[in-house]
Amino acid sequence: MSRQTFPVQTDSMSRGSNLRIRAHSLLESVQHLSRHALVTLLVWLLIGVALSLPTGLWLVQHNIHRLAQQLHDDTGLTVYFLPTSLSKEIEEVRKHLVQSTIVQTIEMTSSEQAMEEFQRVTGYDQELLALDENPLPASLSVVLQPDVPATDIEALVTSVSNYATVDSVDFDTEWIRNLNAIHQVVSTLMWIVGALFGFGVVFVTFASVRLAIESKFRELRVLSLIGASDRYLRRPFIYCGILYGFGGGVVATAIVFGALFAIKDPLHQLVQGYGGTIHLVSLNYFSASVEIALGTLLGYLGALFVSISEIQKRRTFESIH
Amino acid sequence: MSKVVLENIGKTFENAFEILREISVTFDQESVNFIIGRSGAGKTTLIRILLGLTSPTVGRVLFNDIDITSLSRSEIARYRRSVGIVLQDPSLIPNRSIFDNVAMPLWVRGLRSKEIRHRVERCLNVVGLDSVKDLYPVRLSTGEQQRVSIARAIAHRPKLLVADEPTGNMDNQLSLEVRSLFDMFPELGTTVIVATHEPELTENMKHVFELKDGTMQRVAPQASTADSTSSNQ
Repeated sequence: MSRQTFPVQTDSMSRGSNLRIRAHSLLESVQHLSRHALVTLLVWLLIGVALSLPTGLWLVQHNIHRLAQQLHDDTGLTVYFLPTSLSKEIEEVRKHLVQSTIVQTIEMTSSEQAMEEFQRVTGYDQELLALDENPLPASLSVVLQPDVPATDIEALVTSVSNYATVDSVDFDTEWIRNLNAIHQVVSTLMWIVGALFGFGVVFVTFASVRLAIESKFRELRVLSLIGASDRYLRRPFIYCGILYGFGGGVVATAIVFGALFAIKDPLHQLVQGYGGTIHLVSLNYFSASVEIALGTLLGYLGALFVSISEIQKRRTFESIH
Repeated sequence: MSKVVLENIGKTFENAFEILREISVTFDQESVNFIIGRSGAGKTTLIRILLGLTSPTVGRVLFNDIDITSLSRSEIARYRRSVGIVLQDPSLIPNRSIFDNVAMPLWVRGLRSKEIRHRVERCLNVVGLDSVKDLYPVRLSTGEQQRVSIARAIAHRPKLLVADEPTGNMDNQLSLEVRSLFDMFPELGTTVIVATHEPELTENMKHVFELKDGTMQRVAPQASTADSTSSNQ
C-alpha cells in the first residue's frame, strides 16, 4: 500500500512560523537554564575546566615548538683552534665548512681579535698585559641554515673535529633533542587529554540534558499528543546542549587567559634570569573562537545523542503517550 | 468539514485478546458523536486508534479520505495538529500558567504571540475561565482543570475533537456543564467524538454509538442511514 501524506495546515506552513518555533524553543532553553542557574553554572564550570586543560597543553606545546624553533634558528658552531695553529690550517678548515650545504655564514676571529674583544668586554687591561703570550685561540663562528636536522649538524661537527688543528667544536645538540622530545610528549598528551576531556564534555552535556528531559517528561507527553514532531520535542534540549557548550567554551577561554596572565610575570622573571626574553604564544581571537566553537559543537553532540535516544526510548515503551 | 470513517477496524492484543472487531462507522460531521460502553469495552483503544497512538490489527481509519494508519510518525504528528484531544486526566503542566497550558498547541504551530494571546483569551472565555489565565493548575478545581484542557484542545481550531472519558472524575452537574461545552463546537465546524461510560451524558443526543462485545452499534438516532452502521454487516 502506498504511504499517504497529511496536508500541512495553512497557519503553520510559513517560513515565519518555522522561525517563531525555533525562537520559542530557544527561549524555552534559556528559561530552563536560568531557572536552574546553579546547575547551569556548575555545568559551564565543568565544561570550562575540561576544555581548558587540552587548550593549556596546546599552548604549552605551541610555545615549546616556537622556543625550539627560535633557538634552533639562532644556533651555530664555534670551532676553536689550538694556539699553535697556522693561518693556512685554519683556512683549510674554513674551506671545508664553506663546502657544507648546511652552513650559512662563517666569521673568523683571530686570537688577537679575541683578545681585543675580551678586553673591551671585561675591561681587564693591565692584567692581560702582564701575560707572556695571548692565551685566547683563533676561532671560526659558523651560522647554520635554518631547519637543519640535528643528524646533519652532528656529522659536520664530527668531520671538523677530525682536523688535528681543531681544539674543540662547541655545539650541544642534546638539549635540542630533549626539547623536541618534550614537544612530542606534550603534543601526544594534548591529543589524549583532548580526546578524553572532549568525551567528558559530551558526557557532561549528555547527563545534564538527560535530567532536563526527565524533568519535562509530562510536558513532552502532552506536546506529543497535541502534534509536536520529534524534532520539535528535541529542539529545546539541543539548544540547551549548545548553550551549555558555548558557556563552557567561554569559561575555558577565561580560565586559559587567567592562567596565562598569572604566569606571565614569574615566567618573564625566570627567563630574564638567564639573560633572555620570551614572547608567549597566547590565545588570539581566532583560537579563542575555535575553543568556544568546539565547546558548542561538543555540547550540541551530547544533547543530540541524549535527546534522540531518550525520546526514542520513551516512545518505544509508549510512555510518552 | 472533517469526515471520519472507521473501516473494518479490529484490534487484538499480544495476549490474543480481541478487544475490537470489524468496526465500520462513519461519524457524523460537525456533530457531537458519543461512543458509550462499559469500562473495558474498548473505548480507549478505539480512541487511541483514532489518534494514531496505536495501530489497529486490521482495518483503516480515514480522516478526510486519508488513511491515518498508513502515515509515518511525522505525518501522524501533523495529523494530530488537526485534532483536539481531551483525556480523563486534564494533563495540564503544573509548572506552567493556565495561559501557557492553553497556548501549547499554538506554540507547536508557530503562531505569532499576538495571535496566540488572542486565541488563548478567546478559548478561556469560551470555557468560562478568562479570569484565571495567570494562575497555575494547582489553584483550579478538577472541573476547572478539565475546562482548561478543553480550551487547550480547541485553541488551534481543530477539525476533529476527540475526548476520552472527559467527565470521568466529575459529578453529574459538572459533567453536564462539560457536555454543554462540547455542544458548542459543531457550530464552529468541528466534529466531536466523545467516549464515555456515563449513559446519562448522552441523553437527548442524536449521534450515539454503543461499543459492546468488541462491536459498535448506532443507538441514536435509529440506524436508518446506510453509511453509519454496525460492524456485523
